[in-house]
Amino acid sequence: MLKKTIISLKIILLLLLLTLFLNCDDNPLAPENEPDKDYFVYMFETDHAGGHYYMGYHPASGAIDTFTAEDSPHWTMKVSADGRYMFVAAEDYVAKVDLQSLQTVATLPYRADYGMAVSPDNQYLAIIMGPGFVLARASDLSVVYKDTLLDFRSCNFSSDSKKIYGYGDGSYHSVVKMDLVNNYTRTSIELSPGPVIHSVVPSLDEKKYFIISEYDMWFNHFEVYDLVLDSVIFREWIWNGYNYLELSPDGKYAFYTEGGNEFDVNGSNYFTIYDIERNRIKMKVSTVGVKDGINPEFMALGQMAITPDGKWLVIGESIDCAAFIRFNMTTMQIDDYIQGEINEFGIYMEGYSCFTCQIIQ
Amino acid sequence: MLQQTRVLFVSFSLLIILILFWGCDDNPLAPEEEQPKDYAVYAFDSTNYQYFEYHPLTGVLDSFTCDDSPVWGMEASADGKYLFLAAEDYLAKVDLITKSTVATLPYKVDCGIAVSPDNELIALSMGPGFVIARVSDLSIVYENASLDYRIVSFSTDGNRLYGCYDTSNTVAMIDIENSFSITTNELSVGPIRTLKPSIDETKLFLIWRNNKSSNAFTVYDVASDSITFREWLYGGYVDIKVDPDGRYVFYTEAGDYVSIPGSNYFTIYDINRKRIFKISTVGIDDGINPIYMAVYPMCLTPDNKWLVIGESPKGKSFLRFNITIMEIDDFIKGDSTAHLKYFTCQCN
Repeated sequence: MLKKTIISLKIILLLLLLTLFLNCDDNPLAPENEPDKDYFVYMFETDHAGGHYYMGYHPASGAIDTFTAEDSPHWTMKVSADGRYMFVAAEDYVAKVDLQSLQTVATLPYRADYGMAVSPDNQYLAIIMGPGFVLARASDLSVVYKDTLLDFRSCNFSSDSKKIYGYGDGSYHSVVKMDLVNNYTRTSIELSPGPVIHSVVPSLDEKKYFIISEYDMWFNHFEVYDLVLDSVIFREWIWNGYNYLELSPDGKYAFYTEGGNEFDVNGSNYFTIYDIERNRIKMKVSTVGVKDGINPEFMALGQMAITPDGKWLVIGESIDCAAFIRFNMTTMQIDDYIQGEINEFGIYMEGYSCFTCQIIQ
Repeated sequence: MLQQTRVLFVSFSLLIILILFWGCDDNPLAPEEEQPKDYAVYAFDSTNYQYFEYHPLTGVLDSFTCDDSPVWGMEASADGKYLFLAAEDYLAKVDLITKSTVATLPYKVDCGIAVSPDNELIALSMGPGFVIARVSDLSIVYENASLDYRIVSFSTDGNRLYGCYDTSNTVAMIDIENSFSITTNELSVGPIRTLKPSIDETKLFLIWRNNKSSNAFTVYDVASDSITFREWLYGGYVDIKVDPDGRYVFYTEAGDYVSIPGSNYFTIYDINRKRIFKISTVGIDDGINPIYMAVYPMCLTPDNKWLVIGESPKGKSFLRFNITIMEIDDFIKGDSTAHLKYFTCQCN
């Protein structure tokens, strides 16, 4: 009798413990949080003494590595989607640099003076020229498609890597979609007459386009175009100049900067977070005080790179880019400020450019 | 034997019940969370001479009229039972249940009203002149006919009053517990438009005039007698609020109604981190053709959950900012003729 009772009690205890584990929020059986993967945000650094080197910034740890490679970017550079290679747009060719050996492993004789784009599946590299468009395999830079007359700008791949979005192809008011699985056919959507498009990024589901367009010499627009409604559903007036646009990997937010220009437009000392689902600006994050609260410099912002885990946004200063900041996307706070070397006269000795990070986690 | 088994079973069950109750975060024995209180934010429509009563928790908006109307300003009592109206030549205390004036004071309160957080005192500033009265019956506690400071805020404990004057860089502090002694401090800033002390009074949050087209938000550290943070703002009208928990300072830059449009955002300064971020009004009414909505008067609920902000300059509309989620989550478009002013809420 006692033995039976003890067995019953053991079973009840086990059941209760199981219930306890499953009902508690802080489930002790749950796997521990994985530590942050230490992605690199790469940038290219030019110092005023004429030196050039690459810089790898680790947002998770704040560590910085510097290195040189066989080739250096003249126009831009893009890291491969898996983070293993760097595509470097040199003066007259594109070089594929192995980030382990820092050796150039392939080249393609095209002048990527209007930029490059890497497909999220790591299969393709789009090379944009003025004019001219080349689609190459990321693996060996073999050309898949080429149109030397096509004026196709601000190219961005869709999240499934099957389409490329940009503008141009006869009208700077048109968003152009190239279908890679359907003989590279192009379709255009002419937006209502008005601003000239500067950049186009599709939403993850490709139902919206996030557009920066030029209104006049002082102002640009950040606009959201809804394909289903065939209309612009959001617009903000922003400063003209160097404006950059990025989407968070989960497709929740669009980030944009207003970098101003070298002439009359100062730009903004904040960047903007647009909440895609709510069709609202979530907040504008200011750089005032990130360096010095008492005598803050006016730090307009420019280029951006987001880590594929959606945790870190690294943003460079506009124009000369002598500094950059790290924005923690979990806490929605700027939590690191990195400034290049300053000489004894208080002049910046370095400038960072071509911010890029891998796409695949 | 059976008896032993029963004892064992009961003890075991009790032990397990205890483990169940204490092992989880969502403790079933814990008291239920208190329901949030439904505070009212009041504003005055100076075109239609009516008062608005907005409940941020529910989004309910009511309107009412009173015996008196404010000309210079309006403040709610700390307990939310009365409104103090600075009418043309007198101060009126209005009962918010009956909407009737229950007491008056014959002063032209054209430079500001402040109510102490303990609901004991009300400070009235004139240009010049200064009066402290009891909230209960408006009996005068202290009067100084020559003092020329615009009183802007009580300290959290209600024992001190802070003031400034539009044309000077001097901050005045009146120590109520120490025979109303006045100490002044000249800061290395321009003419101070407004200020708020931090909860612990170790910092002053100021907005001062730099020139016609720009102001500056500045954090002054009392202990080190130095400025620890500064941001340049558009010139014109400003408002500043410190949240009851002492974590954030909210401020607006409303322009001058003439040549400076002001900003279509308000700013949140994180006191501990010394950082700022801005909340834009773009798209809160219409994402496609958004109105340019500069914002000006602000009001915080004492539970620190809601910030209600009126439009500038005409104040036809206002918005609700949810401090918990840090998002604008209600936009109330008023009558096209409305001119909403003097947003106020109880502070206790």
